[in-house]
Amino acid sequence: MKNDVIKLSATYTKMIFRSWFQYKVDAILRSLAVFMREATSIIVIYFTLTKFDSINGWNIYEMLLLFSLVYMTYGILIIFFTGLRDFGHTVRDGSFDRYILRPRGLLFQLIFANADWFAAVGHGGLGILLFVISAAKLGVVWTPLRVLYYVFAIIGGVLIQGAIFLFLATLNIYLLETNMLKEVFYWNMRKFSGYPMSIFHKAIQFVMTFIVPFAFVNYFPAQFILRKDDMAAYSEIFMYIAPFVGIVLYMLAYLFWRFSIKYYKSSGN
Amino acid sequence: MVICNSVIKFVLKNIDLHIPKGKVVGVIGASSSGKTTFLKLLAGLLQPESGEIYVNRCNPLGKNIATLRETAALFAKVPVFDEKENIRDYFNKIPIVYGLKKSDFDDRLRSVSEALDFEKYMDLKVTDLSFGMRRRAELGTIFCRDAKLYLIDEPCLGLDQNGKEAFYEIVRKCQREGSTVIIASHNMEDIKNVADRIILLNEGQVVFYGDIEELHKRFIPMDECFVQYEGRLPDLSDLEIEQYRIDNDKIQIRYNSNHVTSKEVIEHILSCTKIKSVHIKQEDLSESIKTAKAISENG
Repeated sequence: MKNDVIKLSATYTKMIFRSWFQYKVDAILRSLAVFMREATSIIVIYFTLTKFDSINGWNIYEMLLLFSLVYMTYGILIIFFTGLRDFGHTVRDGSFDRYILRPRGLLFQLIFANADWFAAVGHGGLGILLFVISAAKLGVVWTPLRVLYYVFAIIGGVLIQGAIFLFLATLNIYLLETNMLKEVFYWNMRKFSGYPMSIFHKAIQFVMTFIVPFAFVNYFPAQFILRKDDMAAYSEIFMYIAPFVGIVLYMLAYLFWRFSIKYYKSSGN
Repeated sequence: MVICNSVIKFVLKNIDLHIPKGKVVGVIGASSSGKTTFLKLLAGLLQPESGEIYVNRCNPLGKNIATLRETAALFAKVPVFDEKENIRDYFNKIPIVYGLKKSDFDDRLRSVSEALDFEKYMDLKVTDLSFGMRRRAELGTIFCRDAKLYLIDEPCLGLDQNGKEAFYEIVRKCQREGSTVIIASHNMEDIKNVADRIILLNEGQVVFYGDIEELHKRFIPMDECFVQYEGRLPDLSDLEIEQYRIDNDKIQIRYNSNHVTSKEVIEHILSCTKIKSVHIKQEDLSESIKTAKAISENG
């Protein structure tokens, strides 16, 4: 059965690639378009910041480190969680029942049948590029501990956002339309997270730390190397728990999901 | 194969049923009488409010791998194909998803795709298919699996006559192989052609469960007999008939088949005169739905 699961995920992946390589130019343009679209917004910020020296003590390269973490985690995220991001559609058009009828895990099917590899290349590529640039400019010394920390921080960051997607996806079972919630709680928070959290109003800082904990995706992990002065406002411990927040959050979202599937079957939606 | 014990869900009230293995069962009833809900319960898509359901001795709700493998369900409102992939891609995934032996699956798929005649559309995407073709391919997705229970909601929607006949043939073949097939349909012709048992639902209640002959006797007993005779006018006064109409050498006789059989009517006429042709018409199955409704409304 284990072996089977690997075979199945490989088949799903192969099929996604094959259908997309039928339109090679389209596939390459897709990755490129995503890359360009996102890079443009970074360039705008870059030139804006050349007018100022820093934002709250953060210079442009330190901010690029924040951005790079957002993009790297998002790149991995849409390989695994596109199915959940677009779950509302799946529930509304009835395809969700199709997944229930198959003798396979629901999340497994949602994840592997919908992986968006090409956008992932665009986002992930940009993330890696920004990360390399900023780390080089900042002269980061890579100790094994730091490398290990970042590997886990990135995994944790993916899981945090995955948990947000899973939670919002699950809400689709109760509500017909959750795009507005996704806009507010995911996309807006994501925009905020490109800037050092300390510049925002206290309420937003609270939301980003405890409600939609985007601060653990990039702000606290970045502080692990940078140790900026504004870290004094938060507990040191946030920096160290950052890689683990994702696991806990994802577990909670998963429990909510399991509970809701039962509800789905009793309500018939 | 299927057991329902006082199942209540939405419109369905106190469903008590036992469907043995190897039967082809047609579920009929007016719109919103609970046909689809019934099938969804058996497929494990819905949880009953109360009561128990067993499919092949298991509760279909628990994500039981064996049960899901042995059940093949097709619902009118659940899309089957992904718009991004072509038909062949979808079929290639089936043996892996369901853990089937590739060679067996390929053999079965070949015979099903030939029977339903969608082999030549395999490399197209679903958006490029006409509605009828898509329906054939969709039926193919369930019959290409060797399931013990087939649940089909409105199977012949959009199928032409050839498609329908191919469908009947496949259902009969599955029955010969020992599978149970449950079909919910508005189309009485489909049901009449394949089902050996009927479930008649009216406002969520099973008002009839049994074979077609029995259904005719209970709900639609009125038969009509068209006779073309030669010679003298037969005397019909001795027969227990509802009405008759004579038009030159033709007689149209309407009678309740519970009171007098077609055989008796014909034999009686034969004893009086010579018969050139006989045509016996039973009432359409859909009349039973109306009758059931009328009975429940009049108490």
